[in-house]
Parts: sequence; structure tokens; C-alpha cells
Amino acid sequence: MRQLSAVAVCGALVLLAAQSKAAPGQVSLSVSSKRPQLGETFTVQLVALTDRGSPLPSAPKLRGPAGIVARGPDISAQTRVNIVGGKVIAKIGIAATWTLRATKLGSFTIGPGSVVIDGKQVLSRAVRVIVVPAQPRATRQPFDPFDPFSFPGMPKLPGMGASDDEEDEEDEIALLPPYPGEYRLERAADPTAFLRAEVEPRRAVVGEQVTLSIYAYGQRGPFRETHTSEPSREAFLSFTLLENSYAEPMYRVPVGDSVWHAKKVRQLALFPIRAGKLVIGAMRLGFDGRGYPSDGPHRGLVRYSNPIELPVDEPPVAGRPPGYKLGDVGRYTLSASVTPREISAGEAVSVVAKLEGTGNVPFSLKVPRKTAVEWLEPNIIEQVEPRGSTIGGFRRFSYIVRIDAPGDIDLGELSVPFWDPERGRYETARATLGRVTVRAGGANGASPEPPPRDPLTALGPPRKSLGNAEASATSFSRQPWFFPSLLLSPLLVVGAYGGRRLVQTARQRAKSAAEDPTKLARSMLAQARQAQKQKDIATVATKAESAIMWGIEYATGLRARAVLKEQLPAELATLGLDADTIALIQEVLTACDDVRFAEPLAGDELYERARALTERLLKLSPRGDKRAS
Amino acid sequence: MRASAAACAFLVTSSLLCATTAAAPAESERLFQEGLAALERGAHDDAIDRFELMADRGFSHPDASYNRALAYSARAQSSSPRPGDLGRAAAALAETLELAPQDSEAEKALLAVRQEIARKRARGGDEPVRARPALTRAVLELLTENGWAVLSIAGSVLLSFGLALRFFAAARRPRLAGSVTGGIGAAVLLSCGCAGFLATRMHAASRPAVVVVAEARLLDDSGRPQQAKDGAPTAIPEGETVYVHEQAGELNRVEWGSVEGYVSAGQLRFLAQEVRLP
Repeated sequence: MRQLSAVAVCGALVLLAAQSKAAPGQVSLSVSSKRPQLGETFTVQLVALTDRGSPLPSAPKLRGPAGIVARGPDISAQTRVNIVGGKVIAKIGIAATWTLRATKLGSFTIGPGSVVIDGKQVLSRAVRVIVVPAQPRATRQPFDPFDPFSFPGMPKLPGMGASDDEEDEEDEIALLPPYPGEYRLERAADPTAFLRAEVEPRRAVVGEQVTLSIYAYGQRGPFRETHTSEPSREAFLSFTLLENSYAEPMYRVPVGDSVWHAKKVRQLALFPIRAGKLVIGAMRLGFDGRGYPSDGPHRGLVRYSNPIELPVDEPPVAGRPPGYKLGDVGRYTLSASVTPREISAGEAVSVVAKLEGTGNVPFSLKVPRKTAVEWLEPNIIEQVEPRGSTIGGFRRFSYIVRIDAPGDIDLGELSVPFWDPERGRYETARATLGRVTVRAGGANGASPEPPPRDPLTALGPPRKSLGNAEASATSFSRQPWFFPSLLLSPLLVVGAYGGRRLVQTARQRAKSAAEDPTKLARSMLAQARQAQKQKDIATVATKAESAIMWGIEYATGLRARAVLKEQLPAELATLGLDADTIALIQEVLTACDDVRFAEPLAGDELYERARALTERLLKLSPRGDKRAS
Repeated sequence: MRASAAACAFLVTSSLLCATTAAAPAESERLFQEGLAALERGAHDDAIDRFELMADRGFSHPDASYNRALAYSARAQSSSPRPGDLGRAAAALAETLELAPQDSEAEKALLAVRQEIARKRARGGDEPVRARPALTRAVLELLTENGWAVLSIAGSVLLSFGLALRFFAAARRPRLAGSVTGGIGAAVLLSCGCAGFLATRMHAASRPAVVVVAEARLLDDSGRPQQAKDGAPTAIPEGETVYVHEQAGELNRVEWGSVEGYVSAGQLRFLAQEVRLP
């Protein structure tokens, strides 16, 4: 039994080693038709791919037999992306296309083709074709030697025979043989020829199959494909469903009011490898045939398909099972077998699991690792290929599982969670592995090797529960109000101080305004004027005297009411008032007294004299503040 | 009156500073316990699956990140390691420290993981690579954003108090004390306010991430490898923390110490910066 296990382990190692010995690149050769007709052109394509970062393949060559004439090659860049074990592996390279024409009947071997990769010449396999006699070609219109415009490829003149043509078209449309609905189209994108690219579905999740179909429409009769370039699709894992149009039937399809020739030229199964708005580039194709003016030697009438922007999302997070790997989308079943079921400790069992289904079959399984059960990396055999319009197949994973602990060991189950786009939910494909009886005593009676010293012992034990973490509110310093509000408090203090100063100043000003001698003098004069109009002579005298007193205070700063009238001239003289003004003051004040106590003076005259004196005083420079102090 | 105002201010500040504490929802708790059980029985892949699923669902908690780090580091030491396991362990520990900066256990563990990465690099013949720390970030990271904010508030209060004394006190001594206090407050407010503002802007303008591949080559904005000049590093080793300033398609513009450049998006793992219990 031990020998059997050892053989199994060795076999697995040999297989792994064989797999790891990789060729410098992948080279393939394909032919558009394996039974070309004599004189017919057909193409041979050599695709050479290497890992990204390696030098690009160069110098493509094709060995052709006598009897077949080759032109070319046309070289275009190629990119292919694969997901292996959850890792995206991109390969880049070239596609070299030769256009061939058979000049002899018989069986011919074309190739092998060769390219130089990293300084080494790498050969492809050869392909075999059988050239058959040419079949008579059906013509679209009978040739009329007397109608110069009936030559094939010649444009029709407007108005000439149009009515007959239209009737013919209508009859033709009515009598068309059936054609698939996917070719139906309302309007032509070009009057002569065009390409149309379609994807289905128009919105996808990462890893879901999206089918890209490209159709060619020609208005001037049958055509062949030439001078092509493939649509760029870097964000997709790509499988070819239809590589070229040679084997595809051509349909006559009504587009608008006329009948077109249409065929599907490409069909690809694309698997998006990331989310976002992913772009599928344009495909170039030359329409080669009668009636299609060529854009250059061997180019045909060149047209491009419409690029497509495809929105791609991730499958929903809600309900996502543990271990789900982005891109595992489809529908799968999983089965597994374990042999042998009884071993000694330290020996290994073989676990073979087969995962099959439709979609991009996952590249890895979730294995039930546990202490003392060691799973080596699996050897994978796969067969994933187009099945009609979908991709499907299987991957077989062969594991070597070494068990060190004796006992009745439950291996657990293999599983792979995936998103089922048709059901719109997550599923898990499982395979239960059952139990293995492990006898005590290792291989050759040796005890298992001691585990290597773990340099990461500093990490300590795992945490047993989710502690009371603080669910972070957004840091308050990130609020837009925070930094301006730091200035709020100091500004409030400054504002309060400023406000207090303002109030004080306002009060001061109000007080000053209330004691302003000028205003008071004018106010008194106004009251005197009012009294004078009412013929109230006594009041005129009182108010006029007050006006003069305020005028004196304004001009000299002297509070004249507090000074005896007899002493007033001397005081005023001391304060520097001129003698004329002093005399006038004395005179008017006396007149005011006289009005009250002796014979009255005319009210008008008294008022006018008092007014003139007050105005005179108010015109003097104010010196009251200095003198009052 | 003054006492009640002070109490109100204290309550407002406390409510701003204190975050809400909430229990983890049942589903996350279940995943955590399943991950823990898997970790204890040596099923590292299972444990990683569960802790990663918690992260995918937007759950971020320092203990979950810590256990995720343990699961990755255990797998890195197992017989079936995956490339980048130690980088992912370092990322999970750096995330633990983002969520709980005082977690000394996580700090020691992160140091151990980075030392192990350095040992692996040395065994592979790679020279140790270090980037000079950027001075501004080093200064601003002396305190957390909230730390700078609290100091700024203190500066604002000191300045206000000093101004009030200076303006409203009648006696000379209190006015002098007010001038001194106000000056100190203004200096604290200006320096810590500016630092807090810059820290907030820096935080908003970049996200921390950790390199989870053996080496992330520094590229220019067109994706071409940067040329080595003046001894500046041209690649960032596994487990190093970088700050991502901009995401441009498949490239991320990163700051690593005083080095700037672009790296491929898939080579980085972003860190959760806030505890979230959805």
C-alpha cells in the first residue's frame, strides 16, 4: 500500500514537472477552408502568443506547396487574457494572415508556419487542404451587352430604369428565402457595405458570458472576408465561437428597401474580468468581391464594426457565500473520489474532483484544509470549449493529500461557490470526501517531522470575540464648520469689547450733543422767534438772553450765567474777547433786562439784535473746551 | 451662570469626542466565530474566506482585521502559501492599527510580519529598501486628527479667556495675565489649527494602502517603469504602507515616504479607516 502511495506521489510530481516545463510560446495555424475550389482565394492564419513582458514573436513564415500561390502576410497584434487560480494571465503576440489561391487540383500540406520567439524559432503544426474543381457561380444579374450599366460593379444611374428595379426589388424581397432573425435590420449604416457588432446580454456581471456577434452586410452581391483585424477585448477572457466567415452561410436579407447579402463573420464568448464600463473595440474587415471597390492592393472595401461599451457589475455582496471568487459565474456540479481509504500516518491519499458545467469553469476549488492534513497543489486537466453558443466543459483536479495524524479522519468536503446568472442567486457546488482511516506509525515507522519554527509567534493568539469597538463617527474636525468655529469664541470676546466701546462712545456723543452750545443757542433763538411772533416780549427777552449766554460759552468757554453781569465784561476781556463784542453783549443783555423790568423795546428789534449777536459769537472759533478746563 | 456654561461646553465637547459604541450584527458575529473556528483547526483558507467576506460586506472592526492577519500569516507559514500572504497579513494589521491606534499587540505583530518579509527578501538576495519619510506627514501624524482638533479648541478657549481678561478686567495684574494667556492661546490655536487643517486635508486627499505583492514596481503616469535616479527606490517592497492620492484607470498615484509614482491597482490593498458595523 505504501508503495502504491509513493508511486501516486511520484506520478503527480512528474505530471507537475511536465506541466511546469513550458514552451517559449503558443503557436497555432488555422485555415479558412479545408476544401477550397480551384482558383478560389482562402486564408491561413498563424497566431503566436507569449507571456506579457516577453519579446513579441517576430518573422512569421509559412511553408507553402507548389500549386498554391500565397500573398502576405498581414500582421496584427493579438492579446489574450486568462484567469488561472484567480490570477489574471495576459498573453500578447501577433496574428499573421496569408491569402492563398489554389492553382492546381489535389491534396496539399500547408505549413508548418514558424515564428521567432525570444531568439528561438518555434514551429506550428501543418494543415492539409484538398483543392476541388470550381463550381459555377450564380450571377445576381444577367449581363446585357447593350446596357453599359449592367456590367457587374458599375453604379446605376439615377432615374434610369428605376421603376423596373424597384418592382424587381419588391418582388425579390417577397420571394426571399427564410433567414435567421438575428440578421434583421431596419436601416443600413452604409450604402455599400458595413459591419454590425452586437452583444448579448447588454449588461453583465464579472465572469458572466457575453456573446459578441459581428455581422457583415454587402449591398453589391456576395463577398469574401479579407484584410481583417480582430476587435480588441483586453478586459475580457475570450473564447472563439466562430473564427472566420468562410464556413458561414450567406443570407439575402432585406434592409430598408433593398436586398443585402449578409453573413456572420465573428462570434466570441467573452467573460469580463473586472467591473466598470468595458470597451470592445472595432473589427476591421475588407469586403472582397465584384462590385466592392478595393481600398488598396488585397485590402478590399475596408469597413469597421461599431465599438461597444458594456457596463459590467460585480455580483451582489448580499448573500455572497464565504470563499466566493470574483469571476466564478455559471452553473456547475462537482463530484470527487478518494483512494485509498486506509493509510498509515504520514502517507497520502489521492483526491480526484471533477467540476463541470457551463460558463467559465473555475480554476480552483475550496479545499478543506485542517491541521495535520496537507493538500498539495492540484494537477488540473481541463476541457473547456464552445458548446453551441455557450462555453462549458470540465476541469479535473487531482490532489495529493498527506495525513500525519492517526485516527478516523473526516476529510470534509470540496466546494466552489458561484453566481448563477440565470437564477440570479449564489449557489455552491459541493462534493463530500468522506472518512479516511489512518493507522498510527508513519511511513517506515518514522515519526512525522517536527514542524518548522514559526517566526511569527509574536502574533499571539486569535481574538475570541468582537470587542466593543467604537463605531467611528466621522471625525468632527472634518465638518466644514469646525475650523471657522475655532475663531468664534475669540471673536465673540472681541465683539463684546467692541460693542461696549461703541455703546460708551454713543453715550458720550449723545451727552455732548445735548450740551452743545451752538445747538442750544440756535434752539433758544428759535424759541425767541416763536415768542416774538406771539408778541410775548418777556419770553423773547428771556430766550434771547439764553441764546447769548450759550453763544458766550461757545466762544469763550465761560459759563456766563454763573457770572454777575457787572463782572461779565471783565471776565470776557480776560478770556480775550474783543472790546466791540463785549460792548455789544453788554448792550443787548441790558436791553433784555430793560424789556423785562423797564420800558419795553420793540420785540422785533430785540430779537434781531440778540440774533445778530449770537451769530457773531457762534462764528468765533470755539475755545470753550480749553477755557472751561 | 459661568459654571453652567462650562458644564454645557464640556458636554458638547464630550459628545463630539466620544463615538457611539454598538454591538456587531448577528451575521457578522456568526462569520467571525466561523472564521475563528477555522483558524483554530488550521483551516486557513476557510478562515480567510470568512474574514474577507466580512470585509467585502463593509464590516470593519479591529479584531476581525487582526484575526484576518493571523489567518494570512498562518497560511504564509504553511506548506501551501500563496504569493502576497505576508503582504495581506501586514495590510490587515495596518488596518487594525488604523481602527485602533492604541493596539500594542497589533503593533508588535505588524513589526514581526514586516521583519519576516525583510528576511524573505534578504534570503532572495534583495537589498532592504527604505524610503525617507516625508517631513510634513511625519509631523502631522504626531497626533490624530481629533488630537489636533482638541488642541485647537484648547487654544481657542485660552485665547478667548485671555482676551476677556485683557479687555474687561479693571486691575493691571489680571490685564497682564490676560495678555500672556491670550498670546499663548493664539500661538496654540494658530499652530494646532493649521496642523489639524492640514491633517484633515491630507486625510481627505489620500487613502492608506499596503503593497500585497512581492514588489510593486514604480511606474510613470503612462505605465512605464520609472528609471532609477539618485539612488531613489524604483519598487516598493511587500507589506509597505503607501498613500494613494489618485486612481487613474488601472494605475494608482501613490506616495511612499518622500517617493511618488504610480503602481498597478491590483498590487495594493486599501485599508478601512473607520470602524463600521453595517
